[in-house]
Amino acid sequence: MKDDNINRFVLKTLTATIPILAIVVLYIILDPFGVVRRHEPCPAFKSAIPFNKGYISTCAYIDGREGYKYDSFIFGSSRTINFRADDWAKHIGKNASIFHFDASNETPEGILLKMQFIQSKGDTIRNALIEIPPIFFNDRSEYLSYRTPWQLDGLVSAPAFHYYYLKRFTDWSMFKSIIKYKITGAMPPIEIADKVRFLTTLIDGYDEKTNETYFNSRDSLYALHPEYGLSPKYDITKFHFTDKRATAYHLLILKQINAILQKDRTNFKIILGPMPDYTVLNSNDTDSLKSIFGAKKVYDLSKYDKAYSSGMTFYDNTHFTPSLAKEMLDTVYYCK
Amino acid sequence: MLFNSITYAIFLPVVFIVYWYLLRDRLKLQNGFLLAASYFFYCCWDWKFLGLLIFTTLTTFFTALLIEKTDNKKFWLIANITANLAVLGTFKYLNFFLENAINLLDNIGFHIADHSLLNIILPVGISFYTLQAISYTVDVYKRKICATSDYIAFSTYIAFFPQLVAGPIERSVNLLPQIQKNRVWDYTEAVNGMRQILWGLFKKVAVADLCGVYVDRILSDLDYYNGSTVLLAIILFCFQIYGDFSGYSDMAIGTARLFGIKLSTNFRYPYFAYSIRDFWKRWHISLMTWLRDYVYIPLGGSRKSKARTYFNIVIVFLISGLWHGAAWTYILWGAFWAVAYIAERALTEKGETKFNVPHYLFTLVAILISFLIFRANSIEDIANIATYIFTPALLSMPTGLTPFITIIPMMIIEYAGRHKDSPLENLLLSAPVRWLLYTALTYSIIFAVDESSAQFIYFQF
Repeated sequence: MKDDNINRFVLKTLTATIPILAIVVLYIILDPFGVVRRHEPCPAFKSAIPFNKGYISTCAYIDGREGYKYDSFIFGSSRTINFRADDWAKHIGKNASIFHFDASNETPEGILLKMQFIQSKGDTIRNALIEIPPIFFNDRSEYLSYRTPWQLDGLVSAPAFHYYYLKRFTDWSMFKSIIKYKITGAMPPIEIADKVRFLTTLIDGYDEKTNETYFNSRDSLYALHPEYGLSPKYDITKFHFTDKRATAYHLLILKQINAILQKDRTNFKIILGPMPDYTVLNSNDTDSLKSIFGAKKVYDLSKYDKAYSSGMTFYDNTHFTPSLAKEMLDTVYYCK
Repeated sequence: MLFNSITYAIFLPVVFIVYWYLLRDRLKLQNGFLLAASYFFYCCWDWKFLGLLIFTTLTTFFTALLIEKTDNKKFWLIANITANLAVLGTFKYLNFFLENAINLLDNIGFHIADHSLLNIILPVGISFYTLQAISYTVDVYKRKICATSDYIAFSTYIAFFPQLVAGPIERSVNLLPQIQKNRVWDYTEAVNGMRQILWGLFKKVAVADLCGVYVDRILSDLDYYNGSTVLLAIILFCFQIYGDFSGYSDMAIGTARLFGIKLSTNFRYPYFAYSIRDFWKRWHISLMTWLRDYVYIPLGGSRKSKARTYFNIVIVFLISGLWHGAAWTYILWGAFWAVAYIAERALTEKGETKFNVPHYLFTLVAILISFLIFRANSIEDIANIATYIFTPALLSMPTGLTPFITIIPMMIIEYAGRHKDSPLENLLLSAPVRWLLYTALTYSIIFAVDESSAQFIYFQF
């Protein structure tokens, strides 16, 4: 047999992979999850499939850190997006260069990875604001928009990160929804869009420096229709502990976070934020947080009276309004 | 390293390129490389058990030489079989026997307090390569093959990666000579190998894994589904286990063909079998022929009385059941097949050689019942599932018919190709139609893959 038969076989096999390559090329062109190319976060967030905000934030930080010399960071989940940099700057000084490290459904590991990443870049965390909701100690979510960016997660390489998203793209329900959306503009079903579709489609502003997104149209909408939001009333009998408890692993992570903050001599505050369904952290976990970070650094606002006074204070089951966020900032920074 | 993984998709081309482009016509180096690749493949599963594989290889290799060169042939044969079975028995059955012994003692009044079973992990592939090693020793003893002094070739025979972890269980007379001589590049064989890999992937991913999602969902929440749906879950399991196991075998055989090596056929369209006896000539052929040649025939086969023949059949099927796992359900599965096989044999004398509908349906029902037993978690679970099936709701419309989107094409293609080793070989279709078929199969595989793609079922054996 001649050698060229082997080459012919290899060529034939490579030809047979064309259908696979076609899918990969389509994925790269469409970039449905916003992890192949850098996108302007504003149009990106108008996608039907919510982008991985942690990934976008990480890329924004990498791109901006040398120019803006970030030294002040807001860490947390999508709830903390309403702690506005301008409001925080009033408390920590207008010279602070603030970066909003936005992520969805943030976990203790996520915050630690971000802090370690900042340190690895040689930056110092002079000021930090961390918001801890009662769902903080939930299991790490497998939602595709919550995937830890590969730059932060030492366990997962870039190829594995991108392969994860490529595999999600080839999920038949996801693939159909994406193609349908691209062709007809029809929004995918909510279970495909990871339940944050409504929030992300109303983003209409972005600050490149602070990585903050603005929801002016959302705020206008809610101003006209406060009944769309939630206005829980203060009722001591309704508060209840979350069924999620901090594990020994979580406490270890928190201690590592504290070690970083101590090393950088960070001026930091940790806010235990309120929830509209009256869920609060277990008292043991609250005590653990105070023990690890110091009682004066942890502000338990889970029963914050202004969250449960008149007027709309939450957009939905999770996200408080910027005005409530501002009140919380004023409280923690003026409260002695 | 699963066959349907990205890692394997990188591993295989690298091994192929080195094997044919760099080591062609250099037999010893080629075998050495194949062995190294096979050990690497095995280590990706669990490197801790590589030592066990090498131990089995070493002991069998030297024992065969001793059988051939010394007068104590029977002694060395028995020693090797005992050693291999002892290793297999320890890893696979020790906990099972201990647990049952403790329960038995408990039942007769001897309570053993504070007992805990050993934490024994079953090494991947041990059930397969152990039988392969034993068959070599027996074949040397019976002079079907000469004991080889080529340790690398022998090690490659034991550890050849396509069939190492889930078969087919190869005979030395088939595989070892192929390893000991130069492989010749055959373009047609390689292309057919790729087609067989594609077909195996389709059966595993697009059929078996898809069925598995529904089977697991239904059987884990029986209260939620009606009788017809629960029955459907068992039917889907029949296709799941077939797609899974035969799919793996196809990928193994197809891969071997890429390297110029022909492995034995392990499945021959078993769901087209017209009788139970025919079914067992088509399902897991390598195991059943192994049991026939190394258990059934040495026990006397069918040469003695009818009672003895039936006894031998029972032994074979019980061993087959036990081989699958250390659990009473597998033993019951083997016992069921023994009874069904003997019953058919008794009722049909030599067995019918022509297809007839009642007999075919009887065979299908037997297959269905056997896989209900196989799938159940315990003996009680069998009865439990059966009570959910046999309800008035058995006649209502079932839910969960989606997997038939891939099952029906699979059965059509296999029926059309039932006279070939693999249905995609030598298709009498024009090139564009053939490539359209390959593309359709590829996309079925791509879009059927999700995060929950399951392990191969037979890896647990």
